[in-house]
Amino acid sequence: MIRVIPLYSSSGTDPITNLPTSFGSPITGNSSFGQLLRFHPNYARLLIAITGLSGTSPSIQFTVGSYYGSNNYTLPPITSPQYVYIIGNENKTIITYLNTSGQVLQQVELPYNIFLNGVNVSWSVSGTSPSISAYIDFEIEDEEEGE
Amino acid sequence: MSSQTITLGTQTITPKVQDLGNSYYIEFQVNITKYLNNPVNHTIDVNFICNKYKQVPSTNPLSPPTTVQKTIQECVDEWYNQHKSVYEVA
Repeated sequence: MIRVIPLYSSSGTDPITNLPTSFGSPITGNSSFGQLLRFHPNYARLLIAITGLSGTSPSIQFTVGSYYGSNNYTLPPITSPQYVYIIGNENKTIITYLNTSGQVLQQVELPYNIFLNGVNVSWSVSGTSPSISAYIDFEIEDEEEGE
Repeated sequence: MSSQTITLGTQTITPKVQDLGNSYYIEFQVNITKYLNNPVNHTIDVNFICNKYKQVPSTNPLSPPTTVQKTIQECVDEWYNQHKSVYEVA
């Protein structure tokens, strides 16, 4: 079964589903969110959608990792709206950067699955008077019963 | 890329607008007087994605809502409503 776990959303609209989201507020400083899982998912996908940046030279940099352990990956600083998909599958992780038209900008593969027993996302914000709109969710496929 | 003059607070701005199909990519600069309850006085850059369409209820309660295209002014107003807890524009 696929489950979608929203980790963070600014007020506004989910850019992928076009559905309104109403928790959270624009990001103005460093923070982190995580989700613990008590099993290894068959498949896990983290979506980071940055839909707006305001301020003087606003920038946000994400570090994505497992809930336990030291498998962390730091993304490049993001200075304009874009979407990042991070897919963990078996023993690898594929990170895909897309622009707001859905075109693939870059793809990176890591030789390990970053999502071990969950996900942890942290971010650091820089710039003067920064305010960043974001939608972050974690989608997992549970292990089938009896496996 | 298109541009038109609109208002935000007491300012007149001319955002750059790029049509992305189902959404707009909007960029502009605006002067702010407050950031997170701290008085400030500087110009910020704003860039964001705005969904191009909105649903409006039908006058007939038995009919489904209709989808209409948003104006750039509506998108900018929507941005400001979402960021009022962060910024006060001049």
